[in-house]
Amino acid sequence: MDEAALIADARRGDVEAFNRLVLAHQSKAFNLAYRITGDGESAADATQEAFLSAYRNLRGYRGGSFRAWLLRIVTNACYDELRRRKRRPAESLEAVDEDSPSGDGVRAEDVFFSTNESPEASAERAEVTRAIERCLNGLPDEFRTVVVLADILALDYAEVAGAMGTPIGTVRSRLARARARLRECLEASRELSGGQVRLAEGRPT
Amino acid sequence: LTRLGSLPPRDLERLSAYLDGDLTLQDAKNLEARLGREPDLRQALDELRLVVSAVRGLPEVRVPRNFTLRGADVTRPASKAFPYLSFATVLATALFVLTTGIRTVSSVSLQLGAAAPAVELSAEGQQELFRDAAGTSEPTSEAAAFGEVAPAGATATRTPVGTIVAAPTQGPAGTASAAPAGTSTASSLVYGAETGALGPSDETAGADAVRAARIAPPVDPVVVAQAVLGAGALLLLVLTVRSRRRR
Repeated sequence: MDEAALIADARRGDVEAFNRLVLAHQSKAFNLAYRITGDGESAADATQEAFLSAYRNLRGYRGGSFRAWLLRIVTNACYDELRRRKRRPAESLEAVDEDSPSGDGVRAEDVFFSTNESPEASAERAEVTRAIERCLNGLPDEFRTVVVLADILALDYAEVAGAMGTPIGTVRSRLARARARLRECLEASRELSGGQVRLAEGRPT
Repeated sequence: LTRLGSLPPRDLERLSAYLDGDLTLQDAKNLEARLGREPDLRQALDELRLVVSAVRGLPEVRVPRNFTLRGADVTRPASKAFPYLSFATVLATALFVLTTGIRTVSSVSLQLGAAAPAVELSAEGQQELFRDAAGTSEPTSEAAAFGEVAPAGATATRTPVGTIVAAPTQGPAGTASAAPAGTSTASSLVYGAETGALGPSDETAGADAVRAARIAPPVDPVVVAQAVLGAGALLLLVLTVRSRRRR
């Protein structure tokens, strides 16, 4: 059954039809939430909240990319979550503090990520991943969001604009500036780690 | 190291969009020509490409669980007004039932008081009838006369009962219609006796009606107030139902 038919059924109150849409989009939705909020628990809460909100406000969807419409709701749910976190900073510091590479604790993403590499490659990759995540988390919210939508979720500019509720021109300039900032942050990480964090050429694109 | 941040914003945007294949054909050609002769710009593009590929290489995060909705999730929570509305509905309904009950009980006791003499009168009427029947030359059997009278007595006692159930203003109407019926059938002795039996009770009821009409205006304000209360309770019930939990 195609997406439009599922949306039409869901609008009439068919929860099962909506759940098929959820299953089709939940991976991108959760990844977006995870990258914006920076932790698994907040991401799961924001994703669930977003799907519930999407179901209740299905009449607000007026055609176009359903995915972009959905991801915009996820983005807003994440911003709400970040605002809530700012109001209780003690909790958030613990949740987002991933700055100690020597930490022995099992991090949420080690559980979530699926890898089948050698331990050495995996360790190096984890180091690079951590550096990128740290730099990503250091970006202003709207810069981080545009990078996640365009580079991690691989949406085109039009969909990114739809998901952010901004003109395409804004997407283009924000993305360029966000990438430049990331570059500077990663270079600083590389220098700090004595060259351990290298951005290898020929990574999968 | 080229500091990407030190690039003119327009150039940075062009390089970034070029990597995403988002430049028009003409713009891409122009940029490529510049890249051929400007090594700094080329280096900036390489650095940008490295960043983009690093971010794109971030591992995908597996969803910890399914985010499908259950029927219970999509139930809209009850409106904040729901507890107040339900309380008001219960209160209004209770008031309505209570006042209706009080009115019914009081009008029953009132009418029972009025009905008592009517019953006595009808009994007297029956005795009178027996006297008249005994003294008459008409070939009417006592049994037949009694049979005819019995409903008359019942009517006399029933009339007030009728006014209990219906609104008080209906009382006089019921007795008024009984009166001409009795007077118009005065041809036979039995009917005459029946009229005699009904007569006094009609007079009593008629006097009651006149008194009631004098005291109460045409539309009883208590009845109006009660109707408003009933309508209000009904309206509140509708609002309460609308504000409950729903899909």
